[in-house]
Amino acid sequence: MVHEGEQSRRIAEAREAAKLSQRQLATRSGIAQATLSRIEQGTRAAKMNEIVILADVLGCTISELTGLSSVQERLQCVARATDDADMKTMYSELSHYLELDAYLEDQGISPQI
Amino acid sequence: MNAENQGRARAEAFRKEHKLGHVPLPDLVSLIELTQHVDVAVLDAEPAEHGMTVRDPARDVVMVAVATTRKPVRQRSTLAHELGHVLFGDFAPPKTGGWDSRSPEEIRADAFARHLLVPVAGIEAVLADRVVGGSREGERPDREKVALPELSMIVQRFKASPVLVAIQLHEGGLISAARKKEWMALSTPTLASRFGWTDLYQGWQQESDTRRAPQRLLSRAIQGYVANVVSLAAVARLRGLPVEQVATEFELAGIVPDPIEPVTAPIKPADSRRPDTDFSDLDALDELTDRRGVAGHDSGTHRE
Repeated sequence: MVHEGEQSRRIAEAREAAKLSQRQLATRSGIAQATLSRIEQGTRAAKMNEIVILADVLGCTISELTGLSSVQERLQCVARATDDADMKTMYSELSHYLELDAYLEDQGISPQI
Repeated sequence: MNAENQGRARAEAFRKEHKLGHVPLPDLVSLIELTQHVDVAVLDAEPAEHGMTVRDPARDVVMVAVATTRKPVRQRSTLAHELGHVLFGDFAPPKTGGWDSRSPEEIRADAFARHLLVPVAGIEAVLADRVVGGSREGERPDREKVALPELSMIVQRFKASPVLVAIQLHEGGLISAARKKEWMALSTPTLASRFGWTDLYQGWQQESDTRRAPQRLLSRAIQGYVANVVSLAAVARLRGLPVEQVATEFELAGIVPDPIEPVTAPIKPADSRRPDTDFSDLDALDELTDRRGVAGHDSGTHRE
């Protein structure tokens, strides 16, 4: 069972990564801004059809939004930082890349180069 | 073998494996992508986040990211440092902080980066081409005769920081500890200003401050877009560009998704009764019930 707070955080982060405002996301997804706002605040869970549309518009995979991915749980990493940086920005971008790469492989899309 | 020696030995072996000699390395992103078959991305990150390498152990896929920056020589040393981690396989589960710790793995990756970017033999070869401190061509340059113009030249040629070059010069016995300390306080833009290569440096800055999408993944995603597996937004996100801009670019390049085959209606059988309107079996059941009723089982249902 996905925790709703976790889901709302994932959706908000994916929207920020796609550099879209809530209003822009509402226009592109056809989901009312008020609904999006409630989803991001965690007061209403996103329905599956909404997740599908959001993943499409935000350019991420469905598993990234639902948190049902096993890719992110198994990732290993190493980093170079200063000032005790938490590496959150780079880690989330890189885990998105690996998630998308695994998804494309599942869909039978092989690398060309 | 300590971390410094491990890093040095691996850097020398890497140059040998890939027939790089002792010459300065041009584009490190391409070098990592081509030799390691991993994706490298240059992306916007927080100021203290310099580089990261992530591995998916189940699929054995590795990806490297470095931050966009106006400090080109630092970006190169970060790229070389991350390559060191890839080669040594320094991976661990993610953590919430403490990324700036000086673990033996970090020291080893730093040493690897330094020896890879500025090999002592490379410095000697460059200096041998110049008449330094009165020594003749081909002779080993004299200690302490390596002056500031030589430092600037090596920094420019190897595209590495004065700190890194000074350490290597000292390591090669070409400068004293005191001079090393003095030169380590200098910055690349200062040397560029003083020795007339600021324009070149600004070009490097522009390049290191430019985003670069992970090429293999992007190419795969474009292929996925054509096959209707991912949306245009997925491609745009990898490029860090608005969807509209990528749409225009694709239109010009003639990149369009494959037409989706409509699901064809099932062929009508010769016997044209549609299954959902064929109630003959149910009618037969009714007849059965009727017959039972006639046989004397009065179930209370209405009969004509």
